[in-house]
Amino acid sequence: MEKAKLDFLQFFSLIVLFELGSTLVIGMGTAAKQDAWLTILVGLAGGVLLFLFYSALFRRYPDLPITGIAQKVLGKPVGTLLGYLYVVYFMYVGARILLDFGILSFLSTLDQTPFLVIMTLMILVIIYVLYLGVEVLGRLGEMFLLAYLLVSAFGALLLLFSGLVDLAQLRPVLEEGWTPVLKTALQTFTFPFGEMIVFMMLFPYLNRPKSRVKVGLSGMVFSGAILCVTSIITTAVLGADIADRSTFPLLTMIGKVNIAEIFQNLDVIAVLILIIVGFFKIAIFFYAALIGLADLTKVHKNRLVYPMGMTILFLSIIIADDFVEHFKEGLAIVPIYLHLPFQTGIPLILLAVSLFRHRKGAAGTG
Amino acid sequence: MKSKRLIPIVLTLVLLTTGCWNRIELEELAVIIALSVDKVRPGLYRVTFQEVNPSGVAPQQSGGSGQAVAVRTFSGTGPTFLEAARKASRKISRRMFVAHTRLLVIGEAMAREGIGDPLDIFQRDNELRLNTIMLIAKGKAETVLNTLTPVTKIPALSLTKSMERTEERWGENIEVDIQEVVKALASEGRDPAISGVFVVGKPEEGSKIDNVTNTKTPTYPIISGVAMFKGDRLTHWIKGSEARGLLWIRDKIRGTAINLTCRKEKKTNVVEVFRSKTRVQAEPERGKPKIRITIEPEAQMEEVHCPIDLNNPEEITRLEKQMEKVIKKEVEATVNTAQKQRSDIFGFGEVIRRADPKTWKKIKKDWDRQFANTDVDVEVKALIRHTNRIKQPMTIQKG
Amino acid sequence: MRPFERQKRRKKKKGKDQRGQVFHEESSPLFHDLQKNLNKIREELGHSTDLVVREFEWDGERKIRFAAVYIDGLVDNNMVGDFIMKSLMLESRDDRQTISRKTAFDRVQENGLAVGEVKITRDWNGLILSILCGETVILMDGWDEAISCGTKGGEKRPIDEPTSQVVIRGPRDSFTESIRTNTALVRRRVKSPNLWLETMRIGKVTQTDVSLMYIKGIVDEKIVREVKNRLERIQIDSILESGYIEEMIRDSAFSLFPTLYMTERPDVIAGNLLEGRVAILVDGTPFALVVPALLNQFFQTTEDYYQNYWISGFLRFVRYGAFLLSLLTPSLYIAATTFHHAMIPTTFLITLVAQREGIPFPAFVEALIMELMFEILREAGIRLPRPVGQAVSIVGAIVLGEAAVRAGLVSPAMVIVVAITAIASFSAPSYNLAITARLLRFLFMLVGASFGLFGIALLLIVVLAHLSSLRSFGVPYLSPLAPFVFSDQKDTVFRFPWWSLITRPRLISQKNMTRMEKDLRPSPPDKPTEGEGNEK
Repeated sequence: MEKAKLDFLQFFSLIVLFELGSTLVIGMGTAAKQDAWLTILVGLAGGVLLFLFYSALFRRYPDLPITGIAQKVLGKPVGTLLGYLYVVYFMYVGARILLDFGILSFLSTLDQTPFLVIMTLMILVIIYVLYLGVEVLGRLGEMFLLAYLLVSAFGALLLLFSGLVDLAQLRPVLEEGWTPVLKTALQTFTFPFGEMIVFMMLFPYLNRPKSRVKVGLSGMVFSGAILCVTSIITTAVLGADIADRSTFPLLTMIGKVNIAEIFQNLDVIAVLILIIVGFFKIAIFFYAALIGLADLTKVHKNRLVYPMGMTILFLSIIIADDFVEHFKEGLAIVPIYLHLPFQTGIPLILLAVSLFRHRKGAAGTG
Repeated sequence: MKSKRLIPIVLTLVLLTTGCWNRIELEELAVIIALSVDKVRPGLYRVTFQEVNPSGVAPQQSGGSGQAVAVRTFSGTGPTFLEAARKASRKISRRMFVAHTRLLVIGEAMAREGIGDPLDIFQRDNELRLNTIMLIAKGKAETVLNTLTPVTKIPALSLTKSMERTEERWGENIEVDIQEVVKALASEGRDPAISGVFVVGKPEEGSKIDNVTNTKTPTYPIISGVAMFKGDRLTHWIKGSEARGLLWIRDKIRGTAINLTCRKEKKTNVVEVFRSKTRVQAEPERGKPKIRITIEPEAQMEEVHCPIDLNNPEEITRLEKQMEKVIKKEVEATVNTAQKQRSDIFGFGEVIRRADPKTWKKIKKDWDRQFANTDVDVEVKALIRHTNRIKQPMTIQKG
Repeated sequence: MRPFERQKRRKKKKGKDQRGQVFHEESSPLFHDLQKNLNKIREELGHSTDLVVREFEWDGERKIRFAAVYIDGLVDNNMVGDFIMKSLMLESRDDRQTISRKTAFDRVQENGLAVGEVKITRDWNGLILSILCGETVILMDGWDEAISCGTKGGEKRPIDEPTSQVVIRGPRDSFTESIRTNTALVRRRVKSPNLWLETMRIGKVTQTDVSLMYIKGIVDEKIVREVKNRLERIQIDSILESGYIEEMIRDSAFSLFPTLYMTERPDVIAGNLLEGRVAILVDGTPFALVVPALLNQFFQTTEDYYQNYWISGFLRFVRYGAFLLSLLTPSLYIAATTFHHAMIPTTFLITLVAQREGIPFPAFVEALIMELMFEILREAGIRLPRPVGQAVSIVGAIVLGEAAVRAGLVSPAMVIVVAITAIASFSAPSYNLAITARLLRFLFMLVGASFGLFGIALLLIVVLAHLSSLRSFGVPYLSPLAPFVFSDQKDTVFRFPWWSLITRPRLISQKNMTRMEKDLRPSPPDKPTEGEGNEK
């Protein structure tokens, strides 16, 4: 474990950037058509609930990451196995997002560059940052969140001035009732809000353990608000149909801006923002896996960072043969068979077991 | 230990030095500014590209060799859009660059067959933009692209600009970009309407440089009329005041002039509308919704020829009433035409869907027919704000 | 692990023979015999011709022989003549008869010299050093002690206007090569007993005076200790400029970014000391160092604190912008014109295409040539005698640029890009950081040319990550931006008015934070009482 500590703002920025991460790229809950923003809110509510469960867990073990908690609760062998599973899970998800961004840059700007090259560069940069440590990541987060907010505010203004926003496209609300909304909300719940599980690895780095719940919740709500607003604007500009059919709705939207013939075809800028936000998401998953493994094997993280980075790169190459398969997996298989157990199942079991033991222990002594 | 640290650095450097995959120098680009699609025969497209000739447009310090043409066009024919484009690209030396395409002109024949097919590539391709303006050519679209324009040297820009201006000042054509068309096509409750364009004069003269060296340009493209679609097929052209009726309903009027004939004399007053607000509402009425259109234009006097007393507020009110009548007639005429053609270019279906999703679900399958029978109630509340810089018209003294 | 390795290495070196050093490890005491001493001095200094040895005698009861030794040019000639020679030869003539050989030395030391600084030296190292420092050494026959008198002086450059940090409003004095003048310039501004000065000699051969300056009670003791430790670690033969020190004590050995602030302005030093920083002054150079130095410091000028705060804040914005421009303009241009043609406004794109028509080089090479040409021009402008230098840069910039465009070698747009870059880099208030931008620019151009904006963005992340990992003497380099310190934002990008800058920067020093009383905002003395205006 590093000795570094992150302050509230840094942790908050990391959470926000993490939550925004690939969500902005792929667009969330567009399957619910013009009610996409509602699914985000529902997903957020679920995520907050889940996070409260987490908080119950880390309140019992304040200094431990989830891998450590697993060992404490379930005993050394089972806990270690779970720890390794989490490491693999984080790496796998990191690799998926890396591929997302490889595809994004490939489709949007660098369509003749092999996206292996793009991803290699990206992972090298991430390796460098993680080599420098979590403190650097936190500070970068702070700066980029500020930059992100400024740029996106500017972008929103551009869209408003282009006269592209037509709020009527958000109506009718709940055209098909709650069913499609709730169905899609399962997806928004696991991705991105359920992914807060990663921060179970990072929470020991927060300088004031007491503010964990506060930072987690405020980060989630803030990012949820941003996502919701983004979703509303996207639907209001593109219409639910195009937003749903687009591979990257945000890009399509920014591509529409044309002000006085000067600000036009800005999608490259949008790609940059997305890449920077995505950088944080990959870096955080990678970092969680990294300290997890460092903790389990007792090897210094800087000796692991390079081989692990290359493994993630390799994973992202072999994950899927084509983009369609990749996206299909991401929407249908991964949430149910990976996200749900790792985000909800295992933590709940851990909490239950630890509560049970506690009670048994209390009963035993009393 | 040291060599291990070097690997990433070396790797980065190698990638940097070899990575130039996407790089294209500016002078290798053929900047395409407009596209047109024509139908040769069923299943065969003819795609024409208008390429900017940079040295013919940009201010050059060193005097070039005489006058260069601002644009050139080249075409290709093929069963798919892309094949036609590839064939066309053989005719030029540079790489076609379509990200700056401003204008897509579709030939009338093509439009009557259906405009849906060429639009897919506009959504899919990463260079083509959804905010490209669309026009329907009366006749062949290619001739529109072939015609040179003076002053604004690039014909595509000249067209889009003049369209923008006329929509702003006159309100008889409608600026529609591809995204709007796509939205309308994808929607059950709306059909697209796209402005028309045709070439005045002899088309073959229009492509010669002489065309732009005359004070009175002999051949020029002009934007006129609006093409009404049913689904993705062109069904009918509307013109003049009928087209303006469409803009009234779509709340696109930013400025227009309305003629008000005098009561006694054969003369006309003109009011200029400078602001207008339209609301379209659906009123649920037992499974058969009714559409209510409220238009609130604000205007000023622009030309006064009738002998009226403009100091009299009643006279102004009378003019307002007259104006309301004119507008209402226009709008109703447009609605009638559209209903006859069963083409919901106003998006009434969507209005109903938004206001009353349940009813909409019931009637949407049958919307074509329903639309033709929907009652449309038009209400105009005109307001003449002022009489401009003079109050009374001048009285010409005989003698 | 690393510092440990270094220590080992140092230990090894210490064992080595140190021949060639003037100063011996162990110093031997002086001789009793005057002549022997004088000979030894001459020998040690290699019979250098600027060594002056003045022997004289007191002819009292017994003859007492004296010698004054100094180096010509290092001493203040007037002082040596008036206060040492004169007093030794003339003043005490009356009571010479009574002085015995035994009392003579003490008498001379206590009463015989009309100078302020007098000290006794007993060993050779001290003796030679004080001679080399410009002191006058008085030796007496029969004594193995010497008196050294502070007669430092000689020709000095007068206090001049600063050349590298020019301001419109603000004091016009700058440091000189003499450390004493420099410390005095600072002391004159901060008349506080808490302004402490510590001096050490660094450089085995040059024996350069290096002074630490700080304000006790404001400064963080940890930083002072750290600076001292790092200075003591330096084992080098010479220190000719503060640059030597800078490179020996900086935090990150390979970083392109300066982590020590350099200035030649005493008011900047004073201001920094008052913020709790430590100044390092080096003899022989007008450039003093300040630690800890943070990135935002390099965008500030001392003038920011003197002039209207609105314009100060605005100018700081401009400087940050100019820095980014000078760093990124060429790479962004390359990226936009070779990768992201779509981004360029249509009409401008057409103009650019027309301009590039017939240019033989790819945009990257074109930019590289122009940038290198410009660097050469700049270097030529600096190296040439001043009047010629200006002519060269003007001729170079205008004539060459114009000719290159006419000849079709470069496009006019590229000339503009290079010119913007150049002007932006001139506006940097700190030369140190401008250099960084100059070098990094080429790296950005390279990634811009290979991967477009994508590459630039990644490199930007790398640079920012590097910056966030940097520390200057324990203080994060990017603070107060990252980590974000809210209270310090008053004086980072903006400069709030003085009456609101109540606290000192948080991260530099945690002690004695208050700079001034609260509620000092000026307001008009008499507000018209309510209702007064309404009467009548």
